[in-house]
Amino acid sequence: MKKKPLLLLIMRISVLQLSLILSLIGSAVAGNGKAQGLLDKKITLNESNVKLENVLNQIEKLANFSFVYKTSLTSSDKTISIRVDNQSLSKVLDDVLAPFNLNYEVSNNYIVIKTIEKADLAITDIIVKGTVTDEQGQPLPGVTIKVKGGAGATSTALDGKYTIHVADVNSILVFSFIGFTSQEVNVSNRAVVDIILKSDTRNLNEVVVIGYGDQLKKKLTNSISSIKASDVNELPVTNLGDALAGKASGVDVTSSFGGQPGTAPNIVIRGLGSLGSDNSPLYVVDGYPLESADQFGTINPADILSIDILKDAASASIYGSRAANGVVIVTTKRGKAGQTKFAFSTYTGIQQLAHKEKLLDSAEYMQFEPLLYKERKSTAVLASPLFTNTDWQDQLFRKALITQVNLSASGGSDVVQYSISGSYLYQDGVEITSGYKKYGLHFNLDAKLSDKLKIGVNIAPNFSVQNAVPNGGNYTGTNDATYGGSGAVPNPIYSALLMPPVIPLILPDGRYGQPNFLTPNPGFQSNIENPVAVLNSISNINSNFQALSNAYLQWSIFKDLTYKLNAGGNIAANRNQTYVSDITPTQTALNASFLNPNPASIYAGEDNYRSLGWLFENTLTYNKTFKKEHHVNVLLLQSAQKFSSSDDKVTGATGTFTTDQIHNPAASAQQLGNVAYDVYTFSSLAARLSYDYKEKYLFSASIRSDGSSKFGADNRYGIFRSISGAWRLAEEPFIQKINWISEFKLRASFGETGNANIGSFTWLNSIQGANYNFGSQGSSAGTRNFGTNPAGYYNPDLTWEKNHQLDLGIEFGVLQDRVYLTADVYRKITSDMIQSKNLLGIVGYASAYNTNTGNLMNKGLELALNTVNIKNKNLRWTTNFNISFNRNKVMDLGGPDNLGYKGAITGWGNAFLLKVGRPIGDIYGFIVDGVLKDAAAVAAAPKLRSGVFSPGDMQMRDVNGDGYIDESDRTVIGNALPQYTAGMTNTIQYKAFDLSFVLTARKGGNIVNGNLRNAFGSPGLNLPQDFYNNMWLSTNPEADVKYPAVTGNSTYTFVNTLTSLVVEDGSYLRMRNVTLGYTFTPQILQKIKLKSLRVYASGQNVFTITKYSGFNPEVSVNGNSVSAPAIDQGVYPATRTFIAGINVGF
Amino acid sequence: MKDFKIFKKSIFLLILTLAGCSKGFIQDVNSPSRIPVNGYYTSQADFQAALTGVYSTLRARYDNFFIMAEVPSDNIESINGVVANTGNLDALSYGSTEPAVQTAYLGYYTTIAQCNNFLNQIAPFSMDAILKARWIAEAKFIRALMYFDLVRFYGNIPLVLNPITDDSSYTYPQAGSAAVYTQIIADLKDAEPVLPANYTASGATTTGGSYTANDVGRATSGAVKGLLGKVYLTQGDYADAAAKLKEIIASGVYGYTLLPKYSDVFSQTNKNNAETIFSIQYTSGVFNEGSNFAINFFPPVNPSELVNVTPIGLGQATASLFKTFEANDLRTATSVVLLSPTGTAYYYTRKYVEQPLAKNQGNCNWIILRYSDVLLMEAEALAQLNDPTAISYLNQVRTRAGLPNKVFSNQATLITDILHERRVELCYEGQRWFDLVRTNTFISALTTEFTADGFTKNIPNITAGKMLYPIPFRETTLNPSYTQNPGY
Repeated sequence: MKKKPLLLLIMRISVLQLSLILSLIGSAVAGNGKAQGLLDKKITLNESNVKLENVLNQIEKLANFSFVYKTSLTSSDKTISIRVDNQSLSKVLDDVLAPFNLNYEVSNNYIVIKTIEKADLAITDIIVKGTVTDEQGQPLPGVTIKVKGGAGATSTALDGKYTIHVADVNSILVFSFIGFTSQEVNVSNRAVVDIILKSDTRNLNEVVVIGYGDQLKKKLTNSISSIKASDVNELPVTNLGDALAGKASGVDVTSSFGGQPGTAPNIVIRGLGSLGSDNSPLYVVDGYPLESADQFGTINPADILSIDILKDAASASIYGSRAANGVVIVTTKRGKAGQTKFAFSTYTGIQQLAHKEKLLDSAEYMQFEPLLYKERKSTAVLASPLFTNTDWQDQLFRKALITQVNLSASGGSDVVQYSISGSYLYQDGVEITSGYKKYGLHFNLDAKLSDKLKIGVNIAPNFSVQNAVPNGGNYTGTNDATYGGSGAVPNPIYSALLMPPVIPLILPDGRYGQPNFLTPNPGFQSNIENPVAVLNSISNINSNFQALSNAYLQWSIFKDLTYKLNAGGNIAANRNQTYVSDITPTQTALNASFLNPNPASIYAGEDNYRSLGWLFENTLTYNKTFKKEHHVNVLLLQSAQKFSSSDDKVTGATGTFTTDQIHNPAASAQQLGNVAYDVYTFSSLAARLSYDYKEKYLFSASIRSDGSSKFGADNRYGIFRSISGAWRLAEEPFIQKINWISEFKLRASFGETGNANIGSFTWLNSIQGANYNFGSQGSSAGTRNFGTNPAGYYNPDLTWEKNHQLDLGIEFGVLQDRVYLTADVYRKITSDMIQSKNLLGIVGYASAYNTNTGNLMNKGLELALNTVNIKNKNLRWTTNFNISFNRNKVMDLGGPDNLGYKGAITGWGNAFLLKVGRPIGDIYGFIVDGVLKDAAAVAAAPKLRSGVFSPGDMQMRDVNGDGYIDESDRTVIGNALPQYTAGMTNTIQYKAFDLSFVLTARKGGNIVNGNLRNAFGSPGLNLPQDFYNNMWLSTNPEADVKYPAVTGNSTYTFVNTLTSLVVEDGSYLRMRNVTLGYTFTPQILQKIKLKSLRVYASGQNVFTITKYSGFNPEVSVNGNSVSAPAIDQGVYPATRTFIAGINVGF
Repeated sequence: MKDFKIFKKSIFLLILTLAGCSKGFIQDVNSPSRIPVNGYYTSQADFQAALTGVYSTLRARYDNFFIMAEVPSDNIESINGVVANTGNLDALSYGSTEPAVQTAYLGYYTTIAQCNNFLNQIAPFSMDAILKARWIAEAKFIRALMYFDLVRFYGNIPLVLNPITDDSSYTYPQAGSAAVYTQIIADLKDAEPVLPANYTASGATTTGGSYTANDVGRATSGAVKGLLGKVYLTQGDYADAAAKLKEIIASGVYGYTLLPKYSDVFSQTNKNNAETIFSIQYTSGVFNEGSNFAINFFPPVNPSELVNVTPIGLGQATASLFKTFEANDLRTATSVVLLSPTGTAYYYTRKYVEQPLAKNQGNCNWIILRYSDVLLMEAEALAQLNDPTAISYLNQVRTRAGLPNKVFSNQATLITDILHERRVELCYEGQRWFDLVRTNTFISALTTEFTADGFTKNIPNITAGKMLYPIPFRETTLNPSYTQNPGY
């Protein structure tokens, strides 16, 4: 008889038998060495017409002992009758077994029943059981247990317990579990084998998502960073992007708009690769490429399973024309078979201003103003009984609440698994009136229709409401165009920095205080408004609904060939409601207050945006191993995607509002509308081949053809190829001899990608409406004649810009990967760049147009070092460190030497210039070497072409040495891009405590501090103490000071000249997060009947060490703009957050 | 295996369908909102609309015309000297990066490009020949007007007469100002015989070579002659100037006259009156087709003449302008008044009095040419030719202002008197800077102004270079072959 696999034997054991065996085996073992004696035990038995199995069960009960046997032996339908009275067990067994052609044998401590014919057969079934726990003593469910060299396998239950059959008492059991080190244990005659699994420092068996598939990390030939759920789940961030900061090399996350709740940070992968189009990476969520980078941020961090970032072009190339800035692949959590698991988590905390600027207080200001006015030969500020000491920053910023709740359930059977989670976030902003609320639902279901067919669905709607405040721009008008056009409302943040501290928040008559309400106005800048009055009387509400849904059907055609259909849809509906009331003081209604409402300045706008995108993809995957050595994976892909949107905006005509009672355009008698539409399509075919030999020599190549309607009629298709390879020296015998080396891999890849982030039909010129009135005479209004104008510059050749990236990488792990180093160098050439190229004024139709021209090079070095510093029973300390260096250089601009100057802020024009041979981010201006102290210094200094310098003016450097200060002395005074960025995450677990902290750092990167522009050189505004203490005064002209007199009268004054005085170093070291947690032990959990319980406290942005004088060194008023980066003016400050939270599983 | 067959079939069909429609899926997607320029001009109505479009660009040209044409003169100054848009021009401390100087330059070429596109597109189009000739003449008048401003402001500029659609723009050369003047005169001479003299014809506007009341605002042959006269005068061609301007004054067909009441000339309820020869049409209302003059010129201390909006105070009058009006000059109350709340003096103009509901919603027009300008130009041309009849034209203007007649004593005095009369008659109409430059009195006038205004420090370096504006830095950066004007 052929020996049956043990697995099959186990399966034949009925549940009842199994439980019997489980309950009895303990005593069997307890009677160690006494099996022989047991046979002499006397039993009494009386049964008739029963199955052998039942008889044996009965005997086991009576003898308090259990047998070992194959179920097949006792499955006969034949029945027997037996009656014995106080007979020995051996006698009874002989009687019972004989009719079944069976006998028994005492083997070690067991009584084994077997067939008589095969009495010499060695097969025996031995049952081993035990519990698997982690180092903290928590039971580990789902651990796989295999018999080495045998055919048995099982896995642990929810309580960590397992049972397995072995053939030999010296069998070796292999325990393995993802994230833990596998262990081999000799059973050594034991029936109970309890195991503590140690968490794995080796990560080679991690699976990485690579786009239309996944791959073992060890088999990667590309540069991909993976971020796991635990890295992002519990950070008190309102935007998923913020959670990525400092986590991966080459991924730069900057909160350039500060801490405005609900506002996304900038994410740039491997440097700015494009001059004219967006530098945001492509985000792919559960297989759906998002149309808009903003939508990534709204995903609830708690729903994330993993985020994989494809950094080199070879890995990203499979996404073709949209992958030039890298690809961020988000995989959300899915249900697993098993008992339903509930998880509840919540945190709540307080946010506050992370940094407060040092400005003059009231007493200092009263000393400063007469000085100022003396210099200006004007009237000094008069003291007023109203004067007080107002700290405008304290009035504008507050301590604010943040709280979040998640509840999820997941589970399922072997056939259907599901996961559902709901989340709620509430956040007040530190700036008054700002805030954010978000509600999210995430549902997915996977079902096995048959052995070959599987379907799944994923639905993730979320809804958020943001109360936005004007962010960025001048005190006279914010950059934020939402409020009826740029400049329509003041920027309260900048106003708060400039408002003289002597002015009271509220005047005796109840109005909010501001200079023009003081009579007589003693000489303050009269057009600055009270920021609190502004914020309390305007609103800007963004309601955002988004539902990303997709479904797949997966069919295993053969064992190795899988077909998958993936269809998805993304619906978004955004609504923006903006209101500026009749009591909002603005530049056009300086006097507005509740005492003097100005209905003509009411603005009400309602903007509704709807978009629909769909995706339809078919893939065929062939995965086969030949001769156990050749692994081949082939992917074929067809994809089609379409996006369309419409945007309609209604406003009430300015001046037509008569009431403040309702805050929308319906209050206007004349409503105006605007519509905008967009549509584009992508159609793609792609293929990828991956091959490896013995996991030692690895190779991959891909090709994708993309077509898109976005581009010029003559140029809508592109081909993107990649090739990559790796050599795992660790698998070579000569390395394997070196015990301490656990991984050694060399990688090389080259790939092409494209950038299509350009908007639709921007290549086309167009006819626009342009009306003119004819026939007006006297008081007759005449007739509006409807006319047209051509606008824009026609460029039918416009196509995607191309990226070629070469990446060389090395991975090196020692001591079972306790120290694991990943290093990559890359060179990325962007060619045919989509650029907004300035046109000469004489062209007339447009001042700039989009074209493909020029080359840009980015090159860089990335290092990531993961170490397990300490690992013992009680303490485990791991560190992830990464550092990224990126340099870029404009190689060619397709003709001109530069793209023309871009301004920084109002007054500081001609600040940025992209120039051949220079890096992105050069800041141009005048170098100031000091102050012209006296007439002698003026005489010795270079002259102005027009006008003259006076004592107290800035001593500007004559860069070209021609004796004159003019535009040709404008030179590079800084660069906005950092020399390197670094991040470090430390995780320390001590018994039930865990502590982690994330540090991020940046070296270099200058900031144009626009918050200083009006503070200095405009009369009647507050200013930083640094200026007050270091300015030139005619009363003390020879003092060694840094800043000029406030009176500059030359062509180049402080307010209209960008100089080195206001370009600051943006280097910083930031403690981005620190978290301390305590996980309750199983003993306590059993008492309170919970599966898991963790409490923690966390701080976000705990401290920042920087020389930058403004609120936040990560600032950029223009986001990730390439042409004018790193400018600060009235940008929402960074916030510091402290929270306490609890996670419960049940 | 049954399910396999079904799927095999469906996948095959699916891929076939997708491959089949893939080309259309990409190539047949058109912009839902853009109308391409190529192929747009197919009917007479399209050209009529296009010409309206050319006119519409003029509003933006003259919105802030005064910033360059009058702030750097002795007429208008920036309040407190600090208003961002005008401060540097007021102090003559602007350079080639001055935003207003760049904006104006780009703006003129925008209108020129629209003219060139119109002329280029309509040339091969067959339609009503008379109407076509008239439309072409209108476009040429506008192009000439733009080049006349450009050449006076910037001097050495590129002369563009055809649409530029390729990279040749980056090397397009500057033309000498003589060549520009030649082109201006050629365009005006082309237009002069074609354009109707007045708006008195009856019938629909689109059928012929005459204007009806519906066409008020379009360029007339009177406007062409007036502009041509100014071009000649600017060039110092006094004989041609006198002759050309005389055609307007002597001819009966135009019907131009001085309105009895000076303030009526500018009133937003008396637009395109008998004194107006050519003006830019602004319309109040919510479509951003209005003007902003009231808001620009009223001081920031609200004189309660504006109720809905706070004025910006981009340009207040200088004290010297206020004081230069003769006693009993009937124009003063309209031209410059004094508002002095709490001891601060604000001089401002009431020429553009109205109460717009919001910015860019004013109803006031901007007058380019009016009859008293023509009379004073005629007087100036004749005076330069030493013709004593000049004084009668000067006195026509003075009489309306309620001032006594001047008596001829000598040529120099007469010329000085005429220039002074132009200053008070035409203040806040964008004439003063050109007059000073044209008569080469810029340096003396500005020196007087800055000295008289109590400046004790940093009197601007008033140089001859300031009689031209710089070619914007943006342009010289993009085309390094450009020659910058002296002094910048």
